[in-house]
Amino acid sequence: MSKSSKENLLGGARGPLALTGVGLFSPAGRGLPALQKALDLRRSCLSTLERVGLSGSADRGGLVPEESIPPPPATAYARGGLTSRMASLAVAAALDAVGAAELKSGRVAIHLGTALGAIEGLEKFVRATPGGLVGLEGGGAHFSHAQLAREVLELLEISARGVSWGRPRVFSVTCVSTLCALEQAAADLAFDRAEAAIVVGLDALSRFMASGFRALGALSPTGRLLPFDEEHDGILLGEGAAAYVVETLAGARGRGVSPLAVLPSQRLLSDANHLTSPDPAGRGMAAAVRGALEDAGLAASEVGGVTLTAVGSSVYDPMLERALGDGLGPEEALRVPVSSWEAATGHLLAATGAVGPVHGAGVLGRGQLPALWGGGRPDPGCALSLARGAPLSLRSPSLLALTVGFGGQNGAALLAGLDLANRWAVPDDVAASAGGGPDPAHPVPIHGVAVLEGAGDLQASQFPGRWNPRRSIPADIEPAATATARALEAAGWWRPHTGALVPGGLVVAVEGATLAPAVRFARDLEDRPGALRGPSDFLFSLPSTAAAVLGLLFGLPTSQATVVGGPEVALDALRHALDLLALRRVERVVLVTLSVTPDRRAATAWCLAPLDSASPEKHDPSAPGRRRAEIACGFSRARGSSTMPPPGDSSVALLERAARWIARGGSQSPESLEGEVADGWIQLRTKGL
Amino acid sequence: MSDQLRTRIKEMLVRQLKLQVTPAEIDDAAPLFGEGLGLDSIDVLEVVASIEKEFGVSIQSQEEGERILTSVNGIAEFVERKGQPA
Repeated sequence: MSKSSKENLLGGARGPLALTGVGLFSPAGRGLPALQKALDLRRSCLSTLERVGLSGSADRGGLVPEESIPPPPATAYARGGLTSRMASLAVAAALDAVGAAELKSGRVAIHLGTALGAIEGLEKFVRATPGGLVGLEGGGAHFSHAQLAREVLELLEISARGVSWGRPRVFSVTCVSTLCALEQAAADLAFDRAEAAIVVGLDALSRFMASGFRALGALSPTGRLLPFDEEHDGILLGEGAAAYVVETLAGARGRGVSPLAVLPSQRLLSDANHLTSPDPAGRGMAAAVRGALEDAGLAASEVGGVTLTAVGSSVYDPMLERALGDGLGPEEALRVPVSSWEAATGHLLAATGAVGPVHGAGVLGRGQLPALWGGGRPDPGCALSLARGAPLSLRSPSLLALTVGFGGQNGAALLAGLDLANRWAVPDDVAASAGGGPDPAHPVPIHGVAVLEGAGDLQASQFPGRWNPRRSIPADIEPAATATARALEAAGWWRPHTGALVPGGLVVAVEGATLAPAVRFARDLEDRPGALRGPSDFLFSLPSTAAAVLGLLFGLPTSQATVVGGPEVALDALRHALDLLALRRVERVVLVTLSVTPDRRAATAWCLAPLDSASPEKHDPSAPGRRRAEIACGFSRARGSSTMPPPGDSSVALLERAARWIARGGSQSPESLEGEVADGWIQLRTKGL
Repeated sequence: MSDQLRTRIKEMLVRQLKLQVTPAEIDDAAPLFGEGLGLDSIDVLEVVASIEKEFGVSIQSQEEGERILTSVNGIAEFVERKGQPA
């Protein structure tokens, strides 16, 4: 066993995270046992998709049985609002996890990961209200991620009154969304903002989602799911909601709760290879695997097993095999047992990143991986030790759960049984006293900043990365690209025609995430069922596509997060960025805010890093946009009432004002700037710097 | 093959793929992918959808697509063979 640095563990200096409860709604029904039973019996939960309006012969997927979903509390209706099915699913999964964790009180954070969580409600609205979408072309706020978060919080507050719930943040990075949510949950625990945190992944199998994946050529044209098979021709989709409770291992033991597993480490890396596809050589995933093992100090030979997602794809199957060979070494990659739950359920979109730990806890409890089935002609070129047709025992009580997402997103989470937990445990007094202290944890130097309103002025030819220089930058994203270019240049982190000079993370706050193509799609359904104007319509409805485009343009991201929803979105993204830096999850972060509404497009970009990892170039404070300033942010309400604030002044607007204040440069008067939004604040200062 | 058809195809490519070139700058025989227009796998799917919408003819398989989507000339030959432009 190699030695790990405790600081690289997910819980920071407070030790590994303990997973103390899980909840799951999958096509197999309610609960992890339902999924395990389906896998044990090799019972496919895939079905036709008439329920969501798809009736083609290849239209098959996994739908959560309606009878398994508990109704929302009657008091939710009494508040006068319709509760969306996905909010109900998310809350039901969260409450099952809370119940299993015996969590009855305390400060509890909750973070959601979803790609298009609200889209299903939009489609239902169209079916129920012909012509009712007039006026929604601009963005469909009623079906936004912000509304989903609002409903989730309302339901939680009604259903679990003893708990002081934090405001849900929504992360949207396609199928790895919940890995970003886990990063935020880990930071909240590391900084003692919460005593426990719930990570929820959810997505619905909607017509728009299925049509988009089909337009991208990702779905099996034969309606079959054939993992690592000679005839594999694509994935099949499913839907679901998965939730798990994490807390520090010391905290769980202090409550007298026996954890199901520990989560010592996770790495999420974007290889910025393509808008949808990963590096075919699997270098990004291999680096994520190596990083997760290094953080935990675990040797490849000690990995007990591996679970995979997006299986059956002729893109991902070979990529994952190569990544395991590279990440674990060719010998260990052939020995370690590998499987997936997707033969039973299909690919559960953003829920899948949460199913990894949820299913993984069950795998560790049983000591074996479920059988992988689907086809009868195993790919002779695949040399992995797949649990083909029969379960395989774990080599040790540890499991790597690999998750992939559009934009070359590669996630590797390491879970371990309690037998191994003491390898990472820290003394209780250290766990109790460690952490980043109260907010603001660490004011962070700003190395470059830019603000832009209206159209940008970039030429695609300035970018030597993977963006096609003959392609225009999409109009909705151009302000963000232009602001990012200016901020990066000011920081000395990037130059036109040269490319990225330094690696870094990318955090994008999207306000008013335009669901316009989805709204248009839904309107078209009234006249032309199943119409989708092309894959771009789908891709550019995903909030995370802005970050994916920036990654391709600038070649930047080593990790990537997109935060969406609500007036606090920029504050949440800033907090996430500062937490990533404070916990040394990345060395540098480019924070981008993007506001896209029918009337206005604007963006800010911020290059943030501690001084010791700022730039490989000599710092030049006279460079345009480069000002010696620091930024901090915090939340005014760490506990107590958690009622979602009404939409008001936007935190994106606040950051725009702040960026202008810095960009004015010269002698600052006053020497600091503070601003507040609904439940948080930011502060910038130049004094003494 | 008519010049008019090839021009329509080029206009379609520029419009649908939001290219920063004029239709006249696209060579009839230049490859659409790689060193030509530099299109990628998503663009292929976008072009397939556009051809169906613009000309009412559909490409049935990946193999057929690989034969047709080589250049503007390749698309024009396919459209002429399958039917008259809409």
